[in-house]
Amino acid sequence: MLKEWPLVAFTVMGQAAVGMFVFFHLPFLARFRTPTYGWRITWLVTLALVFLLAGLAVLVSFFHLRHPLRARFALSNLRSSWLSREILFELVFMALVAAAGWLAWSRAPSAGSAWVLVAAASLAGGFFLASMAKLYMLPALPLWRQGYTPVSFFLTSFALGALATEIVVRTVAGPGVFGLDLMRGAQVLILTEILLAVLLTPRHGVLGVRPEPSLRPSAGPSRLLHGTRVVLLAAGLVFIAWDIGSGANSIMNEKGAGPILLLAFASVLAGEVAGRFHFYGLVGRPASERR
Amino acid sequence: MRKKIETAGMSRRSFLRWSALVGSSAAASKGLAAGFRRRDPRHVFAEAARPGAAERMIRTGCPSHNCGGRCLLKVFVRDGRIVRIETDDRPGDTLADPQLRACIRGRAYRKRQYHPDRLMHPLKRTGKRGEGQFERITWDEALDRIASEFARIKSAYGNEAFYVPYGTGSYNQINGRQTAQRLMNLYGGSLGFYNSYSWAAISAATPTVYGTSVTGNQRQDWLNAKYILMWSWNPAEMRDGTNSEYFVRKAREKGARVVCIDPRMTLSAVALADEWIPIRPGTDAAMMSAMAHVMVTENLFDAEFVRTHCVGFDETQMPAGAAGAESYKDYLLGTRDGVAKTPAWAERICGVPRETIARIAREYAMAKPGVLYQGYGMQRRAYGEQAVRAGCVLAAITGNVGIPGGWASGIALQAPDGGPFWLVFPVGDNPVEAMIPSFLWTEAVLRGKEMGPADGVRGASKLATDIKCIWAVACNALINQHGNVNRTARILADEKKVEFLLVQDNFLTPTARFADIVLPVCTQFETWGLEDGWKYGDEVILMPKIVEPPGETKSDYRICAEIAARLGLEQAYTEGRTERDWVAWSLDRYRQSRFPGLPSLDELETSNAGVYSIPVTKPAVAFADFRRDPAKHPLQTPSGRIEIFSKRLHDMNDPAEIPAVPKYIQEWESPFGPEAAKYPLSAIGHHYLSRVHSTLEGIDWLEEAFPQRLFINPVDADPRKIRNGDPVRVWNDRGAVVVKCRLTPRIMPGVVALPQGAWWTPDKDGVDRRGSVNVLSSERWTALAFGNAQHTIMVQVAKAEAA
Amino acid sequence: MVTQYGFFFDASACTGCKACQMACKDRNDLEPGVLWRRVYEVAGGGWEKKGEVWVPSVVAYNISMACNHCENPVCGLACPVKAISKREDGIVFVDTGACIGCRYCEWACPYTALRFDARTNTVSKCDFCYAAIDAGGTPACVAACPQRALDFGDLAELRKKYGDVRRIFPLPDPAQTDPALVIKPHRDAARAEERGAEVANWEEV
Repeated sequence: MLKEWPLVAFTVMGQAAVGMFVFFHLPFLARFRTPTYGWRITWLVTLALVFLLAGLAVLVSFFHLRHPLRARFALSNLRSSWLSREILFELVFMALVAAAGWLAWSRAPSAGSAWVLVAAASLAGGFFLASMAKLYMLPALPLWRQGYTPVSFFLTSFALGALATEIVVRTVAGPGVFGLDLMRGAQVLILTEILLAVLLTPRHGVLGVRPEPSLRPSAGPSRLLHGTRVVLLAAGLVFIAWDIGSGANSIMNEKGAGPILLLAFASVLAGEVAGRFHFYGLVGRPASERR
Repeated sequence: MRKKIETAGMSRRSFLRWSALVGSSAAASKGLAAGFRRRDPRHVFAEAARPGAAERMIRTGCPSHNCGGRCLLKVFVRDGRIVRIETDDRPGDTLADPQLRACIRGRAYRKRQYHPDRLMHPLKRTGKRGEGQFERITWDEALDRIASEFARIKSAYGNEAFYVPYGTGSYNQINGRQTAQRLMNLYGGSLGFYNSYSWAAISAATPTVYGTSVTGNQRQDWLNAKYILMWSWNPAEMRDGTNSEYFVRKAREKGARVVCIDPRMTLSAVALADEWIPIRPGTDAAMMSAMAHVMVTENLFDAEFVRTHCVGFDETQMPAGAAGAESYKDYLLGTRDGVAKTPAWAERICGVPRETIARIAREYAMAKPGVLYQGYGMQRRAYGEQAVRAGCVLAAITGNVGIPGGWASGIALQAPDGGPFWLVFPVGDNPVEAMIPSFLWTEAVLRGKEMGPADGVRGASKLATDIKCIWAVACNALINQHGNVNRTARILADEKKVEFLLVQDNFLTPTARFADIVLPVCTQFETWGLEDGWKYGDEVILMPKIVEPPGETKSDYRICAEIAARLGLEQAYTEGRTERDWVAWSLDRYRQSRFPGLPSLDELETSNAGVYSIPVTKPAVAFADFRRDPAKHPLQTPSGRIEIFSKRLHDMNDPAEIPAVPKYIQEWESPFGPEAAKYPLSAIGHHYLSRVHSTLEGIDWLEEAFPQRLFINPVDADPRKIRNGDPVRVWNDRGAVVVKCRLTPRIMPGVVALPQGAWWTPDKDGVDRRGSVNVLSSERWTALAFGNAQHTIMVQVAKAEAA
Repeated sequence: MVTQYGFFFDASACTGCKACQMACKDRNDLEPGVLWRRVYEVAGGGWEKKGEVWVPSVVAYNISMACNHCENPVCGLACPVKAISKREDGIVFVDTGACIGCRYCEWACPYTALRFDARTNTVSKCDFCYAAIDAGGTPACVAACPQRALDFGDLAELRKKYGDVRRIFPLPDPAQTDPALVIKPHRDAARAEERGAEVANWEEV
């Protein structure tokens, strides 16, 4: 299970990148307002980080392959493979993010073209996440073939995206200027994650339930990981509440994310990583293969 | 909507066109486009079809060792190396002449053939005996040492001090212990042995009933049976003659009802039987007695046949000189001992419900005809002779002797002539007449001079000397396969006892680790050989030399010839023959006896047929003549009849252990004795498909398929907090073993099974870490046959501390 | 002309001896850990003490399985580089020269037919011995079985000869992939699930 670290890193980073992109652009998408000149630096930094994160995710995914050089053929099966589609949408997403970055850098963008580009990139990111979820929902694997898979992928994306956006905005633009209460939003998202994880525990095979007759061995996913994930997410909630309560997001404060917010992000990130390792642990590989 | 992948959405025809397009544009596309073109797999198929480097195919017999099969292999050789092994695919595959398909072990043989641990050079012991420390020496050095030691021991103690022990690692005429026995016989002889580790009890007990060991029909006759009772018989796993399990399958398809009685739900029980009846190990004679009781009290036995063909059944037919002795009916009804051998009585002993015992008795008695096949696990026990005799008697009183579809039971060598020879290589006569039972060699080492007929010695009233020199050829039965390994190790380690231990083998086995000199032997693929069937079968299989022996390995024959030369006996030993010459000589023997139409060696070699078989269209039935006319064709028993009561056994005057009629006798180590308080579980060491006894140990392909595990029922594992895969400690007073376990419902509660043959691997505390069952088994032997009782074991099992 | 090659497996005759598994390993030089054909031991049920004796209600049988060369091969549908294709005769083939080793197909196959092979650093699976088939021969496993419990041929012919059962416990729903497989069930297969049977030899498959 730990061997799947490249996929854990790829999915978490990829989801975080999409989430960050979407949450940063939410006010813009909602109000159709061109970012002002003063906002441009923040915008560029965000786009750069999103692009780097997505690019790093792609790089790390190569560690999962045994023949990375052959991966140039990975778009060959768009017709029937969700994996091919996932890769396509990820590349499209990155291309659109780059285009948005070029747009932001080169000249004052028109609201219309910027909005279309941002909307398109958001959609591409959304399709990327959806493909990612779909590819795991194979008929052969009942433990992954549940609504919980896409829900948890999107929740991971949004939770990390909201917090990451908050960190960038407070650092580059300053606290209290974003307009959306990302911290409250993160609270709701993470609380939802925790509730779903706890309520749906039996369906995760954590309690050793094999849902259907199978030629695949029971993986015996780690209850410890499941518990760790919940605890880390809960800790994140505590840090977020502390951050809100401390008034760190006040326009009176100096620029900077502040230690509490960083701790919250680290905690939630660790929780998401633990949860993703747990996810991969749900499906076993044949014992003889592990020789 | 179904998606097709064959053409990624296109029809098959358009796939071909598309690929052609792609192929034709190959030259045109360059750079990026070429990088994105998918490889057309059809040229992969074309590559595979192109003939590769020149490959030779030779048909040969599987080296088979002592597995119970004699199968045909197709060996493919490229550049002097075996690259692939297939099996018999002769057209036809009829019941009369079926293909001789190899089992998993023959199919894995390349891994043995090219195993990195194969011995390549002669070795000399450094360090103490048993430490396994050796240095490489030359053949000259080795042969010099051997010759000088032989001469010294011969002059100091006489020839009776030499012993070439029972060893079945090779059976194929030119490789095996017989090559050494021949030399010893020319050199003045050596202490002989009789019986075997496989069949001691059943070989001794069968003639006490039938006067012969040839009690089996040709196997195609099973298709005439309406009922097959597989008692402790597991041909699917131990292979009792190639195709035996296939014949049983066919018999069942034809309508026979098949029942397996065994402590384990074996591979045979799963695939061949309509019903599995678990039975407590060592209690078979109790169930058989109860079955006989049912047949007697319900009048289901063949009274007429008993009256005309048997003696000793009841007081009306006791043999002369035993008129008032206890008859079998007396025993069953309990007229003398006050215990009626009812199913209720047997139930408590053997763990089989009384209704089941009664039902099986009725089924078998009324089947007409039925086969009661006795396997070998149930006789390799403390009172194995009793179970054998009881089974033979059941076959007799149901009238299943000498008729098609019947089976007289017992050791059942194949009618009419006893079946395959296995070995025709001439060892000559042993000038030493004294013989010990094969299992009692440790006694002959410890106190040979005190051994006499009470210890099973034959041919002499006393042994002249202890054993001083052991020459083990293809033999791992000194350490690994003998009872109570720890005891044997102590005995062999004493250099004052056995003064010279010479071992000849392919690998440094646990026995070889005790050697003073180790000689490297080549495999059967590397020298000439020949085989016929194993117990059953009507075929001769040629085993040509296929590849060269590696390193400094030689065939057993070649080694013996060179030792013979040092002893001045080369001409007498070889008679000027090479290995191939001896094969030709052996073929003559076969041609003169069982196979008159056998082609010459040159013809066999050129045709590459590999096998010459005689189809069995009319299976021979043992005792058919006796059945028809017992007066004209009496048995070779004292009475001329089937001896339900044996006067010979009666005259031995040991009613407690050698009764005249078959009886259930509680084993000296059993769930019913005081030992059960400390050691409550019965342990058996069954034959396992990962090995042939201890041959093929350490082959990764086989270990992957059948890993060494202690098999235990959850009923016994759960209270011990043992979970599947946990390392467990298995122990009794004789030693301890730590091995991983496999929980299974396919074994009776109260019984554990540890597959036999695993190599003894003691750690620094003397605990075996590989699962060698003989660490737990006993050196004690049986009363009548002087045979090994290696399945009579009681143990305790617990979860091992961090192993 | 065969349009869909398939296997027939007689579970009622299979002893679990694994000669088929080994024949395949030898022909294809598969290292330990790579099993193109596996033999699953299915066992279950328990024991009840009735008075003094233990009475079993044990069920057990074996399933020898390689690749079912499915009519709807989800492995090929899933493969991002189209390394898996289906021949005209139905044999599903992995081109190890194209495989990138992402192992996605391993998850997709309900029969776990795809196995990772360290020799080629790709996945691999039963190829129906296509080289032997193309030369008029027999798959190694079919020729090996000492109980003659395996057969092969055109799926339509196999169905005519042996019936159309293609699932016994604990095989997955054949509607997922339409395996080219015909099975003769062991009598214990019908009550295996209710007796709580499970694959008993996970470490071997």
